[in-house]
Amino acid sequence: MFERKLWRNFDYPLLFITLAICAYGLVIISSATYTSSADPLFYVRRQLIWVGAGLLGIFLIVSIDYSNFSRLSRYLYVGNIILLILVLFIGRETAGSQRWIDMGFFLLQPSEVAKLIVIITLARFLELREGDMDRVLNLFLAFVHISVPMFLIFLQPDLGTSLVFLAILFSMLFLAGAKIKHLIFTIATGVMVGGPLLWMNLKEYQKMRLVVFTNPELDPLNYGYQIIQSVIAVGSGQLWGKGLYQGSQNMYDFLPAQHTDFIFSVLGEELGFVGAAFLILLYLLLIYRILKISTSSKDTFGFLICVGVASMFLFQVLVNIGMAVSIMPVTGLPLPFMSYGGSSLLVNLLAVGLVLNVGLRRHKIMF
Amino acid sequence: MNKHILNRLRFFLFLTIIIMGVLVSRLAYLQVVQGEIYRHRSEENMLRVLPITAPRGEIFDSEGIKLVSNREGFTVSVGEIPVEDKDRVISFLSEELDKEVEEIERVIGEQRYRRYEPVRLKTDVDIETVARIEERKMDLPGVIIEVQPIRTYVYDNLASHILGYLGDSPVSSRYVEQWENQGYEYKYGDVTGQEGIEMVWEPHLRGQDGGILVEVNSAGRHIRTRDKDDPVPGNDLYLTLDYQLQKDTERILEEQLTYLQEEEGYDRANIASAVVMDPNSGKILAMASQPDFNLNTFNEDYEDLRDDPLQPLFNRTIKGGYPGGSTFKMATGAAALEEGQVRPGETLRCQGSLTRYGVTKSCFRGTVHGTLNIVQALTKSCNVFFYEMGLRVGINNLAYYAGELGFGRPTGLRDIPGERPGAVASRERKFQLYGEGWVPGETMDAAIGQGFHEFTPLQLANYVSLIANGGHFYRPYLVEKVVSLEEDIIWQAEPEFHRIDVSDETLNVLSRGMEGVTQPGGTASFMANLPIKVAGKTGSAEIARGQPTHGLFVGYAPAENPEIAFAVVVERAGTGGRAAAPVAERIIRSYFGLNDLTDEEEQAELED
Repeated sequence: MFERKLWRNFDYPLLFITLAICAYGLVIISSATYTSSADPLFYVRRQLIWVGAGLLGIFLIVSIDYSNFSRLSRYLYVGNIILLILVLFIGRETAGSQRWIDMGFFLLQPSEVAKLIVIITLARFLELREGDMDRVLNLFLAFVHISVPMFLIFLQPDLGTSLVFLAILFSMLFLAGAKIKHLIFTIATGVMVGGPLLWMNLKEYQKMRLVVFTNPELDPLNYGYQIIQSVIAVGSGQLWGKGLYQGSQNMYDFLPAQHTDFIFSVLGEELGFVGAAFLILLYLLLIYRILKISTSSKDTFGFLICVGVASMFLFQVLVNIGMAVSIMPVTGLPLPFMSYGGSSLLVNLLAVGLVLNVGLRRHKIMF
Repeated sequence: MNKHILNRLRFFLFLTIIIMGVLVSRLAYLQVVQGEIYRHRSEENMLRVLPITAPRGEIFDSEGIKLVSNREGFTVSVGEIPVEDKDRVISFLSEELDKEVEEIERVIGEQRYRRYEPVRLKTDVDIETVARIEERKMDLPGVIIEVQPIRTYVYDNLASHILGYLGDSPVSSRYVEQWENQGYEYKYGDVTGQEGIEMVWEPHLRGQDGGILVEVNSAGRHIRTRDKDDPVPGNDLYLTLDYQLQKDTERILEEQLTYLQEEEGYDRANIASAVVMDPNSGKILAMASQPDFNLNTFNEDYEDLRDDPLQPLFNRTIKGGYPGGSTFKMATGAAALEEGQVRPGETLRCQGSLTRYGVTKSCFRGTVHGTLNIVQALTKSCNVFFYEMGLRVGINNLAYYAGELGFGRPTGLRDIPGERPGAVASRERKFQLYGEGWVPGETMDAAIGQGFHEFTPLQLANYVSLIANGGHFYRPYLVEKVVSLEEDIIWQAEPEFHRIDVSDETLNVLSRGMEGVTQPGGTASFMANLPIKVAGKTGSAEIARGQPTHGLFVGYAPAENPEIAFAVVVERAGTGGRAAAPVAERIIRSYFGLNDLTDEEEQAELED
């Protein structure tokens, strides 16, 4: 099913950047988990397996013309909802939230998968209404489309991922031609109505995270602790860092969740400003590459998929790194390709695969 | 692609660059601008100082007999407990250490601002509890067991009022503040001297705590030692107290009280005190106040002791105020002789009572003493003679000479806190107390040590010292020297004295009177049996109508070359001759190594 000519369109730089971030992540994970289990490479090895699985996934996803996903959109949407409902019932509970389904050999996090599926189904939804997105009704329907999975994720509860959906939604609406004044009006209403509503439905720890964000020293021993320790770690890295495996904040466990949500703090401490800024540069290149592919897509569906994936990465990078340097509240969002965790890594790699797919089939007419 | 959308895409890319730029700027700020500060904070984060308590200095008697020492005990402290383990660890400790959860949380809370230092939860924890905690050490992050010196008092109750005790109760925080103002550092949970020598000599006794600088992880677990600072033990104190004499004095007082209660029917004779000092230096050789308490169990017994109506914690020797009764007659005599109101050989006739200004006051039990001079009047303790003396010199002169002899102001003992100044009868005092003018009849009371006077046993002992040593007022003291661990003498007491405004001739006359007291015909004639000649004076201080008097006895021995001066007070026990003088006699026997008599023999002797 592959035509040789297709490979001329394969965007090697995007794959290379992605794998570079993954490799960077593996190095930092190895430092972050060095002392936490008997086998110092336990986490590295597992993450490496996921990179391998992700590469395989990219290969598979690239081999299917993405237009097929457009046709399957309806089933993907329904399947997604079923999975999200399922996790509320049979999900494994950790630290007060139900996010994982035990698949035997790994824990699946349906909310991660949901992000990718929503990008596909929303792209399809918007493509069907192309040129018609200045209508309020369509805007409203787009909201309904996304709010069902988003609400189910909010119930887990997982505030961070729910917010990723909003970021994806607004980015895609914006680039699908929705009226800017409509979008601004929606955001304004959302903040005024949704804000208080959201606040009332937050769990105590979620509220505390938001409160201490404004002043971590308020509660240095509990909720503020993570923020303070993370900022100390990052700041103490200075220009060149303390060196790999040399970060005292990391090695002596002052950092919470140092191989998952706070992986960036380890990077900042051990490789300093240079190492951290380099990662941000890689993310910038990654998003730039994705947006570049989007401009050459053969259809709006492909274009919107690229935009959705780019906005997902951008939002997660902003929120995760922002949290590590204390300009964003603490939300449990992983850093793409860096944080340890199978579901997230796999889904992010598949997302890159989807973009590569769009790039591969850029021309409307194949010669 | 439509141009409109392409512009929006450019905007999206622009937004991405802005966001990345914000993140990089923030990083630059934290890592480059503020990097040095955070580097320092991360260092601080993992470094902890684990204090090593310095052993407190030991306390010895004048002969080098150890009175206060230290032994090793276990202390349970907590450092930082990770948030998720906090409740579990605290409830475990609460059960093992028998402390309320709230109390532990409060103690940890008070440490909040120095949260990297471990807080002591309980000292001297028994070995079984320590073993149970050690067993589960891996499950108890932040819990630290230290070996710490624990204060021990070798002879339990001995000199309890003098030695004082240690405490770490919140009550002590004001003392801590006091020492901190003087530049000493204390941590929460540190013990400090709360009374007696332990309190006043705290700066010498405390030593200097050492510490270990360690790297710890977030759970407070010790990872690596960086540096160690050895503690400097406190300095040792050598007291002026003589262990044997102190022990005997306490025992004698206790036995006398038992005897008076059980054999003589003075069922309220529960309290007695005695001071023995060297009249030639001011050294206090023994200082006992009954009832006393056990220093080793003080903290456990505290509430009972505090609520005991007999107030065992109260050191009567320096805080008890008594009218001196007839022991004051030397002061009246001194005033009369110094003011030329009587000549040494001048005689008066005692008819058993004296009526002046419309009041009649009599001798003890109405005894008629006949013709006597001042020496005989002291010997027989004739009230009439001294009423007359008092009226001749007047209350103002009486108060002046009482002051010269050390009454109405602290003697200046600095080694233990709380010496009471006492009071001398005077116009001012009466006016202060009652707002009324002086009545001449009251001068008669004052002349025989009754009425408005209020003396401490230490003042009484000091007063007879003055007569014994020829008018040298030595400041009484308890600490002879301070010796460092290296055996260097850091501080040595120097006797301090001033000459009082009473002539040698006068003091000689008073001495002769006091010598007669212990001879046949005197009020404590049974002491004539002693191979050493004693100079003394009995006193029976009236406190209220219908109640037994306080028995007092003051004096010195040997009479011709005094080595000790003493004062004994036995509350609500009858006359000085029967209640207090036997105590003094036994103290003298103890000091000079004479055979002590058992109670029965002594009593048989008294009956003669």
